[in-house]
Amino acid sequence: MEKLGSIYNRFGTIIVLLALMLIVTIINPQFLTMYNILNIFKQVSINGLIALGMTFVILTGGIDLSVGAILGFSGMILGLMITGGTPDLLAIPAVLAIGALLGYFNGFFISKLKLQAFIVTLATMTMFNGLTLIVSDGIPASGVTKDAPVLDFFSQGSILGIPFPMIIFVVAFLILLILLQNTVFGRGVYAIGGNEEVARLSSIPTNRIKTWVYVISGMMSALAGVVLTSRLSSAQPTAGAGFELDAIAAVVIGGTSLAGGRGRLFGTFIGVLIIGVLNNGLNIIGVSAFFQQFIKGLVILLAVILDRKSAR
Amino acid sequence: MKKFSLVLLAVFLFILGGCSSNESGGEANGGNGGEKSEGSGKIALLMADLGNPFFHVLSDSVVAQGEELGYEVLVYDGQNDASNQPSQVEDAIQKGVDAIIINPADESSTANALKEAIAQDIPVVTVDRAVDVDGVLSYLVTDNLKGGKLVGEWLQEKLPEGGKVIHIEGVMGTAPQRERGGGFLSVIDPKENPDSKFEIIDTAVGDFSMAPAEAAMSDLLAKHDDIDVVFAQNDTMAVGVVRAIETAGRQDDGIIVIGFDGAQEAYDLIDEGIMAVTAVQDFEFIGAEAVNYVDAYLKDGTKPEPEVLVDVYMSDSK
Repeated sequence: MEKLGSIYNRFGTIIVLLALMLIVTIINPQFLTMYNILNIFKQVSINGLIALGMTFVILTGGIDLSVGAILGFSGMILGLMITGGTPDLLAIPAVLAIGALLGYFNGFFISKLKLQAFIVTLATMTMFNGLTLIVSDGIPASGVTKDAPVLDFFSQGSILGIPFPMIIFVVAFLILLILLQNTVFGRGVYAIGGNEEVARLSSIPTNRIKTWVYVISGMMSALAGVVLTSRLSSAQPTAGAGFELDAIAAVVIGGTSLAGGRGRLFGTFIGVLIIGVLNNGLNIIGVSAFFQQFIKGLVILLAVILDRKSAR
Repeated sequence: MKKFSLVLLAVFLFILGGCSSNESGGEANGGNGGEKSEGSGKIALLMADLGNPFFHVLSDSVVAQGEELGYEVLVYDGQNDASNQPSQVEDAIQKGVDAIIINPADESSTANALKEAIAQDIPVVTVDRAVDVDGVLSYLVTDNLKGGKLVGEWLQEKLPEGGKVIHIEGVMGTAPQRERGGGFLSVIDPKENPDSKFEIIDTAVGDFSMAPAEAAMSDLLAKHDDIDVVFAQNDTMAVGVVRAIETAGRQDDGIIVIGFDGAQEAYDLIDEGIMAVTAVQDFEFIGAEAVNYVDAYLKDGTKPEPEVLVDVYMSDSK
C-alpha cells in the first residue's frame, strides 16, 4: 500500500495527463495526430515559460501577479521597436532585459522593503498594464514579423521538424531545472520557502535570492511575450491579461505548494501540459462554450485534490 | 528607510502632477478657440476609453461635427475605469456645458451624476451603451443583431451552395456576443433557418481578443480538413484567425474570413486578400448624429427617438 502511494506521489500528475489524453482520444481520435500534438506544444510554450518562472517565485512562498502585464508590456515594446525599424536581433535581447528589470522592480519592493508579494505584484500589474497603454496609445502594432525573420522564427520556425517554441520551452525547462536542483541558489530557493528566518540565520542571502526569483519570473514573462508577439505577428495592448491565472494553475497542479518550500519544476512542466491538453481537447471534442470553463475549472480542482491526497 | 519612503512619495506626487497637467492639455484640444460669442455653446464628450483605437473614430466624429455647428467640445477620457466618469460629469456641469454626450463605461456608475445634469435641463445623449437613468434625450447604438443577420445574408449571397462554417464567439454573455452571434445564426444555422444550406461545424470562444482566437482556430484547423468560412465576432479575433490559418500553411484553402467592427487591421488584411469582409459599426455616423440631436434640441426643443439603432454595413475597403 505504501509502495502504491509513493508511485502515486511520483506520477500522480502524469496519470492525470495520460487519463485526460486517453479520454479526449477516445471521443475524437483526431486529437492524437502528430500535427495536433505539435500544435499543443506550440500553444503551451507561452504559458509554460511563464509557469517555469512562477515556480521559482512560489517555491520561495511568494506570488507574481504581474507576469501577464510584463508579457504585455515587453510584447508591445518589441512590436514598437521592430515597426520603428530596430533590427529584431537587437530588439529581442533588449526586451528580455526590460522583463528582467521589471522583475527586479518587483523583487526590490518585496525583499528590501518587506512588502507582501501579492500586494506589490497586484500594484505593479496595474502599473505595467498602464505603461503598455501609455507607450502604445492603446493602438496595436501589426505586421510585426513581416521584416523580422528572427522574430518570425520564434513561432513559425522549426528544427528537425520540432517547432521552435517547443524547443525554447524544453530548453528553458532544462536550464532552470539545473539551476533549481544543482546550485546553491536553488537550494536557497527551497530553504527560504521552508522557513525564511532559519534560512537567513544559516547565512543564506535571502534578500538577494528573493529578488532574483522575481527577475527570473520577469524575464521568462518577457520571453513568453516575444513568442506570443511572434505567434500573432502583432502586439496587442491588452495581451497577457489573465495569463497569471493559467500559470499559477499549472504550478499548483504540478504539485508545488502555494506556501512555498515544496514542489518540483517537472511537476510544473506536466501541469502546463495538462492545461494545454485541456484547452485543446475541449475544442477538439467540440464542447459547447458554456461548458468549457466549468469543465476546465473542475479538472484543475480534481488534479489538485489528487495531488494533495498523494502528498500526504 | 523613512527618508527613502519620503523621497519615493515626493517622486510619486511629482509624477502625478505631470500626469494631471497633461490631462488638462488633452481636454483643451477639442476647443475651437471659442471665438463665437453668441450662440456658441459647449458640449462635453465623455469617452469610456480612448485607449481603444477604435473609439477614436467616435470621438473625432463628435469633435468635428461639434465644431462644424459652432460648439466647443470638451473631451474627457474615462481611461476604461467606470469610477472616473461620475466626477467628470460633475466637472462638466461645473463648467457650465450646454449638453453632454457620453459613452459610458458601464450602465450604472454615472446614473446619479447624469440625474443631476438632467435636473438642470442639460440634454444628455448616450452612445454605444445605455445608462440606467430617466430623462436621457437619446441613446444611439449599433444594431448588432441586424449586423449579425447582415453577415449571414452576405454569406448566403457569396456562397449560394452553402458551406462549412466555424463561428468564433466573443466574451460569452455580453450583449455584442449574443446579438452578433444570434443574428448570424438566425440566417446561417439550419436549426434556426431550415432553408440554410450551411453547416456550423464548430463554435469556439475567442473572448473578443487575438491570442485566444488564434489558439482556438489552431485547434480547429487540426480538427477539420475542410473549412469554407470563419465568422469572428470582431476584427481583432478575425486577425488572430487569419494568423492561425497562415501558421498552419492553409492560406490557399480559400477559407472566407469575416470580421466585425471595421478596424484598420482588418482592412489591411482585406487589402492583402487574406480576409474577405468586415461588418462596419458606423461610429462616424453615430458621433455626428449625437451632435445633431443635441443641436436640434438646444435650438428648438426637437426631441429625437429615445433609442436609435444604427445600421451596420458590409465593407471590403476603407
